[in-house]
Amino acid sequence: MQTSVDTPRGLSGRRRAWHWAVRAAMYLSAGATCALALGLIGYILWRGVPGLSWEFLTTQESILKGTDGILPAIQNTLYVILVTLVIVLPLGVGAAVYLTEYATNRRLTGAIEFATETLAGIPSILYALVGMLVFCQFCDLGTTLLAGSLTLVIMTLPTIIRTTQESLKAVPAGYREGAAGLGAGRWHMIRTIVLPCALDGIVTGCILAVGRIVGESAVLIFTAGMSTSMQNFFGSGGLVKSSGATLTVALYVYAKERYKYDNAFSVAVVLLALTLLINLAAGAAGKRAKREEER
Amino acid sequence: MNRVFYDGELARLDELVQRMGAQVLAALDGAVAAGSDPDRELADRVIAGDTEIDRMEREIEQLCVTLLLRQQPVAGDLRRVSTSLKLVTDLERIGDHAADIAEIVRTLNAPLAAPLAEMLGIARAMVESALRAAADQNLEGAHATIQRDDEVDGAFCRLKDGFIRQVAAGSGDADAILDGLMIGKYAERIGDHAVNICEWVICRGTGLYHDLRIM
Amino acid sequence: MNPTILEAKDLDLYYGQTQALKKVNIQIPEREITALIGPSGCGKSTFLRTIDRMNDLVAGVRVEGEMLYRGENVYAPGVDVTWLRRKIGMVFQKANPFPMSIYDNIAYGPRIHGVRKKAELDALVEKSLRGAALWDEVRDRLKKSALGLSGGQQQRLCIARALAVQPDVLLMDESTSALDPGSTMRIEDLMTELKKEYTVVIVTHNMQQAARISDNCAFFLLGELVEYGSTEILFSHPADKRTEDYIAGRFG
Repeated sequence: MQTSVDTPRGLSGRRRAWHWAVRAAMYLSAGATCALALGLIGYILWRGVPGLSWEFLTTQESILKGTDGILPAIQNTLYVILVTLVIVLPLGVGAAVYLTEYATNRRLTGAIEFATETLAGIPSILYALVGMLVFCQFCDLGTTLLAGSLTLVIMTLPTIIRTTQESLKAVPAGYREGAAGLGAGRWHMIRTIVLPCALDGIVTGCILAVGRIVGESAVLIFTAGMSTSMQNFFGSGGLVKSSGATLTVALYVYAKERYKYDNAFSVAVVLLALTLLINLAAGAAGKRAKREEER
Repeated sequence: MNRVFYDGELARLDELVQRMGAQVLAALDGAVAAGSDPDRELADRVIAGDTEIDRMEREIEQLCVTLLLRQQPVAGDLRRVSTSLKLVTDLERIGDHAADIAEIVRTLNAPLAAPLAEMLGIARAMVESALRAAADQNLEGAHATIQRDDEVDGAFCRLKDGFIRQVAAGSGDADAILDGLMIGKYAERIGDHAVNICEWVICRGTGLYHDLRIM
Repeated sequence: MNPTILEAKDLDLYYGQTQALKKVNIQIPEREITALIGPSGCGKSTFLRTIDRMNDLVAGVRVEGEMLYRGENVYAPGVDVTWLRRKIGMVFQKANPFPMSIYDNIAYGPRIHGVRKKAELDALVEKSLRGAALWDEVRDRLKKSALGLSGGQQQRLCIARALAVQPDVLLMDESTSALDPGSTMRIEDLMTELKKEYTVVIVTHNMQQAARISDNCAFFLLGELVEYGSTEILFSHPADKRTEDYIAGRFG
């Protein structure tokens, strides 16, 4: 016997009408969502792609040379990503390992986990304010990419801790028992079994963090500056003192301060491509993790 | 209680053994009656009845093997099933001997001699008390039954001596003497099988067979 | 009965407020298979885990009394747990090969205990796999992931991994409960082979398995050791009514 979802013959007239109404509403919302996303992307591409060129990606703004590129912004973005990850990874992974593997006080770890979860939900402008006061002024780093990265470290720390903790908890208890049963000490077990198993989760956390870094503007406007020139990068203070705008900030600068909307849209296309790339990478990492489990 | 079906099957096993025991006792009674008051037809019925006893034995054996296979009995259950499996063999032998006696009796013209009838009576009483001990798991009753085997053995010796004297004196009919000796021997064997049954009853209770721990 | 290798003396174990083992006294002989049976939660697994102190991993566990291994109390202060677990190996209910190659799985234990030379490791890996009757099946794929083996093979791999540290005693916690009859039989055969060299202590819910392979059998109920003795006697003529009721399936 075949039952059809499309034609609910057994239903009364009223219920059938309700059935169709709900279906129509669902199709409508799904269609609206798709149209919105596609429209947005299409508009950005339509406005941004014409301005894209090899020159745009590889030069900096120069009135003398007549170039108008975003190389400094790309450089700043990579710098921020790198510095943030280098600091946040050992910190976050270490904290997660401590919380899941060593800490014995359930109530304390519960409180810390609650705190990290709360931190993850705080609006970034608050991080920006704190970063500016603590790193730029109190620590006297000034408005630099380093201060920006440090602020981003605090902002992405909860993400790294959460994802690492989740993947550590997902390591089968059997592995730990097996290692302990062979006489492995706790750190040896973590180093040889637990962390390698959790690697995929940590990578996923990294990608999520990179996503947040790339998308962040408020924090960096407050702490890392808005310069779109190369000079500040290789300036007198070296890498520690360099300041400048990342791609997202550059977009803001082009749009709100210089009214170069075409440039802003081209940056938007670059950001869109970057986001897509990060999402694909996250998806691939997730898939690999799953395959690993099923194997 | 986790074992409604299993316990039911075990109860059925005991019941089948008792029913077969009753059948064997009836065969024995028939053989003795056919001898005391020569009755060829009764003797024939006893002989024919032996196939039913054999069938009952096989039914019990099959039930035991099925229980071993399906329930893998342990402890008291294991002893119950495995001793039942052994016990029915002795029971079946007793049935055979009853038929054997009936075979001889149907050729006789005179009633059985008094010592023979007495011997058969003791052997029958032993079988009956062995079966009762099995039904009640009464170890004392089983021991008491085993003690009675001496009576049968003694009676057989006296019977044999009587026949020897008859032969020595040249009196008596050779056929009758041989038949009597055969029936006496069967009665003596029936006593032995009753003892065996009692030994399995004891084994079921204690795990000991001839004082040796086998279970 | 062989000389005693493991002996519990008035062993009590508490999980916080609840007492999981009550004054357990038992002597486990060398190079024999001893089975621990009893209903779920009776303490048999807990007892097994007190032998190599795997209970240390559980928070809130307190042990009183003594667990003697070759006359030494494993709960005495200063006992090196790494050394203890090298001497007393454990195989778990669910096969738990590490997500690495077959070779690295076997070499994991020896590496903890300081074996570094490749030749030495190679020899140990082969010997252990042969000991667990797995060598012929995996000799050509030692570098492949251990997770690609079948369930029964994985469990034998775990046995091989435990053997690689050259233990004295092998503890097996329901190690065949997740396997099909064929794999179970192979591991049971392996156990009877292993008892020539090792002392084997198993926990099992499978009464037939305990009856088939163990030399001695201990019945636990509510944290108490109710009855302990030769398997043949325990399964044909148990002394305690509770033992009989349990093994005959009247409760539990």
